[in-house]
Amino acid sequence: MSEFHRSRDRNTVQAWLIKYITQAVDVPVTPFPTGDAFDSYGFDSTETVIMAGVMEEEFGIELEPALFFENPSVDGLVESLAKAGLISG
Amino acid sequence: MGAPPEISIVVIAYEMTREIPRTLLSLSPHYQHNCPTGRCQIILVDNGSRLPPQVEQFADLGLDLAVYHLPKTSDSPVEALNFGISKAIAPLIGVWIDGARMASPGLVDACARAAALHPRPVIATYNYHLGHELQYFSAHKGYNAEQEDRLLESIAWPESGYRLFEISTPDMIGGPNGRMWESNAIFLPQSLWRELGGYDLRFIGPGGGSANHDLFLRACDAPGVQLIRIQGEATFHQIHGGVSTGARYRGEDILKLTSRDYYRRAGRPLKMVHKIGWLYDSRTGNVDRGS
Repeated sequence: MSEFHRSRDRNTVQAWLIKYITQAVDVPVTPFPTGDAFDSYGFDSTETVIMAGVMEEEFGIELEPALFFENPSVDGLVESLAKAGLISG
Repeated sequence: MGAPPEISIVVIAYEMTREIPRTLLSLSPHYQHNCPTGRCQIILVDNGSRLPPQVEQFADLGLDLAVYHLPKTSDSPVEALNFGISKAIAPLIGVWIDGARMASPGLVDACARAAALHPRPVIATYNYHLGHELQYFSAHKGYNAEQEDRLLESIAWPESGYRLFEISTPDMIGGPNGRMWESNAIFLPQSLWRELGGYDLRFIGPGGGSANHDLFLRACDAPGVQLIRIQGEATFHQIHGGVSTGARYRGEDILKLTSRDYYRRAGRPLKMVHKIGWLYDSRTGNVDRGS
């Protein structure tokens, strides 16, 4: 979206994911079910890939869509991103 | 001078020597039900092909056809789309962002009948891909123009146009009542096209990027409109090496690139249209207005 990219630390990414998902589907922010599978609250595979595109723009990273399906929850995705060296912390 | 057309259809072509003849045949009075010459104006806009189509090639189709040749100034069809829309004179205008799409035989008449149901209709038709798998995937497994030609021969197209459904795959999320994010043969009143300003010129990527999604979202969000989905008709995409259905990208990558493009240009995430709207059954004329 711009040349500015968000910080790629674990907390920032997790907060961003929660904000994005709660704006896309009807799921409570507090307490957000970070361990639940995306599709358990109606955030399906199409929405997930759309989110991947937005994340690339926001964080300035390249993301394989497959990464989002290996561990399809907020906690799982953050873990996968950290393991892949795409985020810190 | 005859009566003005009831419907204008804008078709965009780029390097579609093989595909455009079938597309135009599928819109012709010989093929479309209840669509005699004069009811429908066809505006074919070639967006800079090396061998652009000529109006004389289609003289035997009985179409009210105008062909325009634009110089290639970008990879995006958006300027060509708006040019074509500016040439449309009918009160109802349908737009094919991708000229490789053949229509089912009742599509044009069904859209006209559905448009009469509401003063501000957004008429969405369903997208299919020729072949037994979506071309985002089949193109990577060897599906090509020759196979497609044989498929069309196998149903003796164009003799029985509805048999296209037998050799095609719906490009839908969640079925006919599921979420939609575009229609590749979308019909709006001329006044609504003008109100929306046509396609957004910011979408300058190959194939228009997410221009068609953006148009559909804006149309569905316009005040006082009614989304009407056409059941029983569709358009069918012929493989041609375009951006979305060629072998360059995989399905998920296309969606991700579209999402990026939309976010970059519109400044908000791409969303799909969740509302079902009215369902117009082209075969029976029944309208399901939902609850």
